[in-house]
Amino acid sequence: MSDEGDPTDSGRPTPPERLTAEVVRGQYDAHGRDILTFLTGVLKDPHAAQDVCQATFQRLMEAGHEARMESIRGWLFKVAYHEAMAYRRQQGRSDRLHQKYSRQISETTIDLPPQQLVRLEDIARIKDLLKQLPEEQQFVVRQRIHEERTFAEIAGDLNVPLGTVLTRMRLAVQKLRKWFE
Amino acid sequence: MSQPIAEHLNWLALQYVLGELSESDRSTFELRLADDLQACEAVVAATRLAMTMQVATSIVAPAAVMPVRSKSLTGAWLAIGMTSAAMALSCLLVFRTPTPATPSSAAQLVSLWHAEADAGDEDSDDGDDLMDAAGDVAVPGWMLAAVSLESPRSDEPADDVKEN
Repeated sequence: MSDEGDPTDSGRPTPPERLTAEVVRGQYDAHGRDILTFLTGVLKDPHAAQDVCQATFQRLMEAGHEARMESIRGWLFKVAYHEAMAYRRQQGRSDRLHQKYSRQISETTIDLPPQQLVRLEDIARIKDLLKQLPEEQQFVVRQRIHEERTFAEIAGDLNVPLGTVLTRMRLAVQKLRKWFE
Repeated sequence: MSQPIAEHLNWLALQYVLGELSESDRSTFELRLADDLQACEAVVAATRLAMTMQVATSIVAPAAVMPVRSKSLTGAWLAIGMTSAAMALSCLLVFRTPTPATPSSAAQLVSLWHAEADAGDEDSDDGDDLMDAAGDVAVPGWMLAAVSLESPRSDEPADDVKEN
């Protein structure tokens, strides 16, 4: 190539290209389920989590080219977190929020299919594992998860210290997680 | 990350997801989520476990009722409530997912439900609540919601629970 350079070369750096829809879709397939699960845990609202997840991958399309691919997962979590906090700040202004996220969703140029957060095979496995827990641990798990009673309420009903209830739940979860994984 | 630290983080994340942290602890943990990928992963695991347990405990008939030491009536009513609530249609997911499920996933859940009912819960007539006028099993709304958002591209191996 001539040292004189390409006559069309203006000397300005070439702006990085945005990620393609195919690349974004690939990242969604790889990380979307976990991002949505994360947002569900933070926002406690599956519909809001869906909206914020869409917004997160919209951001990926807009600015993902600035992130390093090897750390894209961390980048996605960071963006998801900030989008969730922004959503929460705007939660009181429901009309504006709806407009913001509706607009974002309508601007999305790729179709992001819904993610299955809970798998049937996992449900069946946990169902069996729960039965293997000691009775007192099963009781606390069912009271907290199924009945949605607080640990303090459970401790009051059982007339045991709160720490005892917390310990039973913690041991139960440790076992479930160990067996589950 | 060492095992004790990982277990502590997992426990902290579960308390956060269940809303059991104090306001100050919740704020502190949320600040950590801003740039701690391991904490974010712990929230993912905790959320998934909590949601799975929510559905699983809704399907399983209650085990032998834990004897309550309290002398008040609360424990007694609690025990009665547990027995009937296990088969009640009014169970809600922790995260309230009302989106309807696909017929295939609903059918699989129904089979799980049947399996539990056939396991010998003869004393419970709560199963009748599930029968509609035609005598077919009516899938509860919350059960359909539990398997909502099923991806049409469900080509992942069944045992592939964790990614990467």
